[in-house]
Amino acid sequence: MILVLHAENRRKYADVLLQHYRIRHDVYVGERKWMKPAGPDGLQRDQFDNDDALYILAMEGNKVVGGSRLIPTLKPHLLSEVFPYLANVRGLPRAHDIYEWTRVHVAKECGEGRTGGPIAGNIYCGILEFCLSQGITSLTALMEMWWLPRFHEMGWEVRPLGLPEFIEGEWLIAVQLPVQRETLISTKEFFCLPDSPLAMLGSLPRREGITLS
Amino acid sequence: MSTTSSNAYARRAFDLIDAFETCAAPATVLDKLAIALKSFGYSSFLVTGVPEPPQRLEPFILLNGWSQDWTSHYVRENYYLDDPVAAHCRSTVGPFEWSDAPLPSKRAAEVIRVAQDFGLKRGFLVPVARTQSVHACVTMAGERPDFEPSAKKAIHLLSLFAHARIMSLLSGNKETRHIVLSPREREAMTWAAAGKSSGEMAVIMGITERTVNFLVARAQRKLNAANRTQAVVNAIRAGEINI
Repeated sequence: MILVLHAENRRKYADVLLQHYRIRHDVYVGERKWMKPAGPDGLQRDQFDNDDALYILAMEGNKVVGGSRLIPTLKPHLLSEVFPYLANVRGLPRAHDIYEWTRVHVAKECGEGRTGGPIAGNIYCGILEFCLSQGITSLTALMEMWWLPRFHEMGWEVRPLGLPEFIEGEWLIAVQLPVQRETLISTKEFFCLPDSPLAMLGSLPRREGITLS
Repeated sequence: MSTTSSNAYARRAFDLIDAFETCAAPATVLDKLAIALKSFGYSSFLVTGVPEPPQRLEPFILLNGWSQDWTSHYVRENYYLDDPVAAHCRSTVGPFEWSDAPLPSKRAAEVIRVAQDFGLKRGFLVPVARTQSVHACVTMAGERPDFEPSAKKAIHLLSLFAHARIMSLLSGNKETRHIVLSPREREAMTWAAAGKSSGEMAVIMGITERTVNFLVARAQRKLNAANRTQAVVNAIRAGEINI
């Protein structure tokens, strides 16, 4: 089941959000060693975990098994604040219907490994269904180059915004990922998920100027 | 390196990536890629899967831009077993110059020396890490390729898209669809052939039972099988696993 957290309901689900930060700590600090531990509380948060952020979480009962974060590109986000030069060729897309996608991961104990399994599939499809229902037409992202073939395999269109750069031991690239119904169909097929819509919880935030499809 | 020149390299990569989208057949991708790589100083290239030895390379080749002479020699001598560039590719994620590959044996050095005799003086390789098939790569060589950092980045980028387009074209065609199990799927099917249950496989492979079932279900689909037993039979028949 997919749970969407946003400004209006995140306080009600404060404990769920804490689980999400804890998993992020395990994955990004503990396992991938991207960041130094932020503090003794074992949670991974940054300056973009504010009321503008949206969280797409994969739940089993009350337990968070994986998740992802979306940030409106009209607000400060990773690409605009930290890595704007990575989009210097095509320019950084910023619009009301474009969100930055950061942090997709599955809890370690779910044992999906790097290849990804049904939980990862549910998160990708949850993000796509959410975007389609909210009129979000594309996602920007900073990703490792080795992710590109995986998105191609899933049938996503990947639009580079600049050349790859070697940053802290990894080749990274800024991309734009158009969101279409076809993307959701091919992703569901890739993960052998049924055609029916995912169960989604968390009343979606009110969005002005967007026609719900 | 000025921003203008690195942007120029980026534009060359972007234009080619857009051009790949219009290609209706792998041969067209080969033509466009050959022209582009020539403009970077590469006289020839190879797009191929990179299997684990002792598997042979030939069944995994997707686009062969090498000379007939070099290919024949390489195959006859079974250079793949000792090819240091192929070995380095299997162990790394990022692109590298052929000269960066360690030479662990005399035979490895011979492979490089003979390649140079065939005109492949300086080379560059871009690994492609897939989940649905064996690792792959786009590798290229020439007399004096453009090793400007931005040139390499542009090639890194366009290589991934070239490979993706070829795979997309091949998988769309039922006749040429490669039944290639991913390494994990192959591992799971091998254990299934040995009679292991999902629970036992989970322990052996260090993943959850649910992920095991997921891998087996996907392998089953690729193998066109109604159940696990049939999948094992089909996998053996297709040469995907050996028991």
